[in-house]
Amino acid sequence: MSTSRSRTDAELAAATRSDPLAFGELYRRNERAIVGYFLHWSRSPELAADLTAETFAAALASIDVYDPARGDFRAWLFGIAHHVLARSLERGRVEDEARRRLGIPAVVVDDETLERIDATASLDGAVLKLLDELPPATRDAVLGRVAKSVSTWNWRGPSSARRASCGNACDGASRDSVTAWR
Amino acid sequence: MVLIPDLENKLIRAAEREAFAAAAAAQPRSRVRRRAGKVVNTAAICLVMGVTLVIGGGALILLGGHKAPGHHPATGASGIQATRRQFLDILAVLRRPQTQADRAFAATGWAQPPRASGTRAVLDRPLIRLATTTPSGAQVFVVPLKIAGNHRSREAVALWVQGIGWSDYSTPADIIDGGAWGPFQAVPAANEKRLSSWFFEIVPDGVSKVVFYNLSDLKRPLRFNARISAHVQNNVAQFKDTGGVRIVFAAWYSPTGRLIKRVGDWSLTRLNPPRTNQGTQGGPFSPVPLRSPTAK
Repeated sequence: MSTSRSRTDAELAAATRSDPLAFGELYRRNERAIVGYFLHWSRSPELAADLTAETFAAALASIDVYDPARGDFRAWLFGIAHHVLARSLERGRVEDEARRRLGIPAVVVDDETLERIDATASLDGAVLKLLDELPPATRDAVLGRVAKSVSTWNWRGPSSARRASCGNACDGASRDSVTAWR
Repeated sequence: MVLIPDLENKLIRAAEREAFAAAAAAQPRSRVRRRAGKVVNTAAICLVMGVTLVIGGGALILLGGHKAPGHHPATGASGIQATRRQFLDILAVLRRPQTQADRAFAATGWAQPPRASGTRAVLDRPLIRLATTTPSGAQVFVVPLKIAGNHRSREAVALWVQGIGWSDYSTPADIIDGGAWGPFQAVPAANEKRLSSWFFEIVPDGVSKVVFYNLSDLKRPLRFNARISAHVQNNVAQFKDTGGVRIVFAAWYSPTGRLIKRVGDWSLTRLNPPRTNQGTQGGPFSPVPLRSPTAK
């Protein structure tokens, strides 16, 4: 039996329904790229964490429809990430439908996590390089449409301190409404 | 190095739940189950069977030592009977005779309990008990039920609270470990800019009081800014609180005031709950400010 590390992304995706740890390996392989992608657009570690959570939740929920014949897993994942970001931009709040549907609680972002994500910001260029590896249509869709949307994004993200204080209570209502609670 | 280990852990737990549901759904179905399956498949399905629960805009997280639902072994008919006996052993409220008030559960307008795709929840009606009521008059029922997949079933207990809904499902181990929290409801208070929260816990026999410690923030070492005491009634403790942080740190006390159990990962803090409930006095819903560890 092959170990998780020796299996391809496609094999791990196919195994996820019977081997939950396979999805953990997929997460570890792609987390940095997705976090970096969201960090590039949002410049906010908290938002990047939330958007990453929604992206992987959506990937888990629809893992059965991933077809390796149509592209590699990372391209598929970036497609989901793009969709999550675009939906969040449209709605002015972090999309969380898939995360909620799977019963995944909001991510707890403590200081150590923030520091690790902040450190990823220095890899921003590397993330954009990863995007260059995507199929042209996917890359253009991810970069082009998001770039248009960013100019209209009126997000009021909570500060780090506020995010830490609201914790999982940020879940439920939009996170920006936490401002009014505290 | 993983950037967000908390997310990795939660995704794996969710994958476990999905795998469990997929395995249950993949089994051959009888005609009756096929009909039930159609209902299940057309409903909006959201299963929260872990110790972490998110209901109504809030969440409870138990740090340390708790198993996700995917870890619970599936049980056959004999296993279910054994689990049922365990519930009877640890919850006195289930051992008393059922009354008319208990049977009034049917008239409360309860909604179908949450369940995973391909499974169904069957209420153990003879064991349903009215445990308590909230100050606003909402009834709180302890509801044993069976989560039945195809060839796999397990017994659980949940709380049903009028106006709030279902709690997470708990096994006997969950209850003994201090992991049977919920349901949780967060409501913006009418005249203040803070959240007012309701939440509940099922506790085993011998626990007469629960003190819930409210975190001031999530910075380490974790600190508390208040504690909320709840006297247990019929194995159920209910809490009202303001604020949002919901990582579980709690302490159980016996009727004599002795500390029975610390719930949560107290190694993350520099504090410990008092060994007796002296100093944890206060009404069931009275936040009591804690002294700073450095205060004189």
